[in-house]
Amino acid sequence: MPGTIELPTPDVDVETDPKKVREQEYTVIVWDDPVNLMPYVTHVFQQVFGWGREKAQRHMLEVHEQGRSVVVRDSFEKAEYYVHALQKYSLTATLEPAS
Amino acid sequence: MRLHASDDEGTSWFLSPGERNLLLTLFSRPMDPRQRARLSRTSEALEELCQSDLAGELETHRAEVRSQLVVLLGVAVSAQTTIQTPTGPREDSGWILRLTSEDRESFLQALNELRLGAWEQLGRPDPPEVPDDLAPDSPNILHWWTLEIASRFQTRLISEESPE
Repeated sequence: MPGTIELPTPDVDVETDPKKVREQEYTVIVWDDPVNLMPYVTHVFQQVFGWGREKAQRHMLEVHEQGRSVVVRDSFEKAEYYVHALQKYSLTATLEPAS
Repeated sequence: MRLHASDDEGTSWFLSPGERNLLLTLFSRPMDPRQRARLSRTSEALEELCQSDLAGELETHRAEVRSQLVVLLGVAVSAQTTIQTPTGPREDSGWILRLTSEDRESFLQALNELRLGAWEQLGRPDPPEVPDDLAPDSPNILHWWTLEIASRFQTRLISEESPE
């Protein structure tokens, strides 16, 4: 289009641009630790995600046996919400950009 | 500590006088310093972006939960109950602690916070089991005691709520 100035695309680090951070998808990972009791971890999964006992136990065992379990894949806001909820129970939970 | 009654609005728990004192002592002590929770393991930028909110929110939440539990234990009602023993019924006196579902979750979180604080003070032992050679005058006695007692209450709260 005549008269339109083509603005250069700024070279922005995806992870530090708040807009892009919020557009990306994230996974919530719960990591194994030697201190949280297995029934407690199962209970937390039931409470935070509303899962039945069987599903909660499956993820708890995955954490215990494989060192980690991906429990959520969602938007930044929802992933952040779940990480905060899990950390209130002192579980080792982080959010990572989904690959 | 045992489940006394359960209804749509929550649960009531019978505590012996000793158990109530133990819990009051545990929740009234200053919090053991905890390692800061991380938001991300792979992204430092993400960590930087969000960490301050998370750390502040957790700290406030934990302090509020402990205060709330001290209040709940303070307003527990003294009670008499009959328990069945192998030798027949026995009258027991103690306290009834009324917990909403939300209170129960706060209780579990606070107990776990105590466990993790003690475990970190002990140098994060793996597995977190009392060593056989623990000396009676060890400076770690209090941390092992906290870890063990908090685990017992936590297990009781979970197993009574959702029996196998």
